Amino acid sequence: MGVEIDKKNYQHETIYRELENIVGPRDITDKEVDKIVYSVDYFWIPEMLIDRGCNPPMADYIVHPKTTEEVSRIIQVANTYKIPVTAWGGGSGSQGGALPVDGGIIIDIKKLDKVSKIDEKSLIVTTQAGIIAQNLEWELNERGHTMGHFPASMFCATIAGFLAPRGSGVLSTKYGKIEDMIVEMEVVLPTGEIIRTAPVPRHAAGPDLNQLFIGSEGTLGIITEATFKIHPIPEERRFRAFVFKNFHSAYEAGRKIMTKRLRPCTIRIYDEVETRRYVKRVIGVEKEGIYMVFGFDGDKEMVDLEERTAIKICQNEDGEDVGRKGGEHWWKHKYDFFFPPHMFWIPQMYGTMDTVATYDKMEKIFEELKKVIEKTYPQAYIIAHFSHWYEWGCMGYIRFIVDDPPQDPQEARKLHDAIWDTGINTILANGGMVNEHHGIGIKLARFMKKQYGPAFTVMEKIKQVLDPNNIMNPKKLGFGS
Amino acid sequence: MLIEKYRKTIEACRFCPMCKIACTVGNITKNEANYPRGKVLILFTILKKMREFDEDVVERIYQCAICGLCKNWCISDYDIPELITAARADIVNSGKTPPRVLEIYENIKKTGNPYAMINDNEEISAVLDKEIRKIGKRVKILYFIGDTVFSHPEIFEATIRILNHAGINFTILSKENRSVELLYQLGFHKEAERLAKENAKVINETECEVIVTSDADEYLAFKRDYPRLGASLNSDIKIIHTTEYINLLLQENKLSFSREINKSVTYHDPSSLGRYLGVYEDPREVIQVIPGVKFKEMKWNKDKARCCGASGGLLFTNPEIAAKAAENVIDEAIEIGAEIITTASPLCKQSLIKHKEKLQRNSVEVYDITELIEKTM
Repeated sequence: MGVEIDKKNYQHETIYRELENIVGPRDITDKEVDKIVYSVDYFWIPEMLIDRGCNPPMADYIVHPKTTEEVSRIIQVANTYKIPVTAWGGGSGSQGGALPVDGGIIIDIKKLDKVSKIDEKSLIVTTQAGIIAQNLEWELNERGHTMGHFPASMFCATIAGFLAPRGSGVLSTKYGKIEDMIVEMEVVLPTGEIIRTAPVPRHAAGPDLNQLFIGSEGTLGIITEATFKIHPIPEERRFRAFVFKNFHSAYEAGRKIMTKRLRPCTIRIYDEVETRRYVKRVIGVEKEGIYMVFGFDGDKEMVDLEERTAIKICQNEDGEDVGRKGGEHWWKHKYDFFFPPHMFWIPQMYGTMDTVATYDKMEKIFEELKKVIEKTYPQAYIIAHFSHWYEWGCMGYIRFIVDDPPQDPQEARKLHDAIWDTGINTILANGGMVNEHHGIGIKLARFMKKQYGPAFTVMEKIKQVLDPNNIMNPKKLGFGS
Repeated sequence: MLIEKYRKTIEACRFCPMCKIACTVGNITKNEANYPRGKVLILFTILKKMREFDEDVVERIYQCAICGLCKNWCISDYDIPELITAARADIVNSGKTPPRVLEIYENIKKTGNPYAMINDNEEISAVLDKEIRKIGKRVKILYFIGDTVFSHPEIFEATIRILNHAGINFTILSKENRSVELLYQLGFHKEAERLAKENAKVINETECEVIVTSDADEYLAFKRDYPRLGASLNSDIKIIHTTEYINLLLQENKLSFSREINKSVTYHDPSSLGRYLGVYEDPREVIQVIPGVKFKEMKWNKDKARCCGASGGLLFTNPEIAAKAAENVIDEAIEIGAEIITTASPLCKQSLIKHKEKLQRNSVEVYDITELIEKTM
């Protein structure tokens, strides 16, 4: 009797060949050694599992398509066999959004990395969506332009990786979040059709399709190309630092800068703990209190005027002007925080509860969140900064840290999820959003119904219609299996 | 296991994607397992005994140029090249060496070079017979050729002519002087140690004061690996690369040019000479002294220079990936309008000239710096 091949293995080979026929033998793998790497993104849970010697769920295949058409054909194969498809960009998401929790196919889009066109008349760029953000920025810089999008994941994330979870960069206060930068997109739908949204985002021809797919985290399709607004590299970009005696004064200064309708490119307020622990360590400024960096860019005369006005606002709130050096130093070292050993890392447990709310609510959210987390979980502490500001409110980048979490993976996960439950429920109860710019992924999926109430039905119905076989990034964004 | 020594690096890099943009191999294959985070994550699972050095793990560990771009990019200097080198030594020590790597090792053992080229062709011998001084002749300068340069007679011939032109009294070792670095990078540390010690013995016997080498990788071996491998050169021996030595000869007015090269020339920094040893200026100064040369810097240069796929044994273990890396460098040179790409490592030259058709189509030539100097003398 010969060796019996079970059905799953028999089908595995069949699907492998089909996918190989699409992308070619070099751009497909089902090796364990690759699958383990694609089973971990920047979410703490899979990192912890690996640290404890456990394997997180793995994909069955990883493919690297080079064209939109290949993406479409892969998705058609997935529909035929009704197997999950998860899009993977740079793998730097913190919410588990790219994890293949139900196995299936990972579509790594990094080979879709060509800049298609820079239209210098309209100041827009069209690029394939798998390009690593810094590569696009360098290409724009060579022609005197910039995206104005500078997230911490600049060196590792793809443009699609920003679009999928509605990401944000450190100069978002002026240049907007990624959803403000978009002009047009090409998307492969869950059934394989290739669509384009509309040539411009400002029109009166029905809802904006861009905004349907931005933030959908690969559950409604895969973004393969995008056109963005770009900007001339500003003549002047200037940063300045202030130190405030208390959080309220700093917060008020930030709010007044925005409600006076100045156009800072950034405002960053670090709470007392972050000022003490990280500003000192990374930026090298030795000050007690609340550290603030703000910046303006553009024509020099406009920057002069806006900076003068912002300085006055800060001084009126009793802020101590520590000059440009502290601000410039932050700009120069803005990514340093995210390199080890500056970044939190295992054995620590950590999570960023980035939330956004109107100005009347954000201070309360921060106070409550800090109080409730630190009281309920004495082993945890909170640090925070506030770094994306809008005309109507701002974002709190509120992080919890547990220095010595349980070693047992189940116990560690229980504690992790419990802290998240407490944190998000506190945020929601006080009028904040479940997330501001990291997305939902699998980490926050369970809060989506609570966030939206009956409105979540709208999303569920769209999902059912667009993805009848429910194969696109299952379990993410609150869509069940 | 040797990788245990790098636990701190492993724990720092296993989940960190911050150097993704810099990785030579990852940015060609786009496979997450080829980027530093992926490789280190895999090595963590080895340390954790979740898996062994199986065939697939071994394949990924050899898919690295050890070019040092990741280390250079990292603000904290975590040394992934050292970790990968240690992992390869662990692989060799555990008898898991993949056939392709073993073949290179056998070639080096049999013929002294990884391409199994027999170093006794008549042309080369004629040049050497003319130039070789017997070991033991007491001169200050030893020109150490090494096996890799032996496979590129145009480079050592040019170097010898330059030295003669400058009136330098120098000696050359006989053909037995071996290249160590490739073996070391592939994980054959014991063999590298044996050869380094043999080399050190014959070099010390010459009582030379200066070793000049055209091979950037062997330069790295002399400076970094010999001391590690316990191969002691006489303490007063100074080791310099030909580009540094030529620069010195130029400064002392011992070299003169009789012809111009009216072309735009760029320079490709070999990882070993540049990122590892910090020699960036001498090659550039030498090129710019050549009459007629219009020097153009590539976008990625000096410590951020792209790797051409020649280092880390990639050229031999993964020629397709290496070829793409070389093509990236050539594209960069074409983009700036360079007509000549110079470099200072025989393996870099070897990697770049594989794209013969593309180079010809774009009228781009590739030379070792010594060849360019020779053309003008």
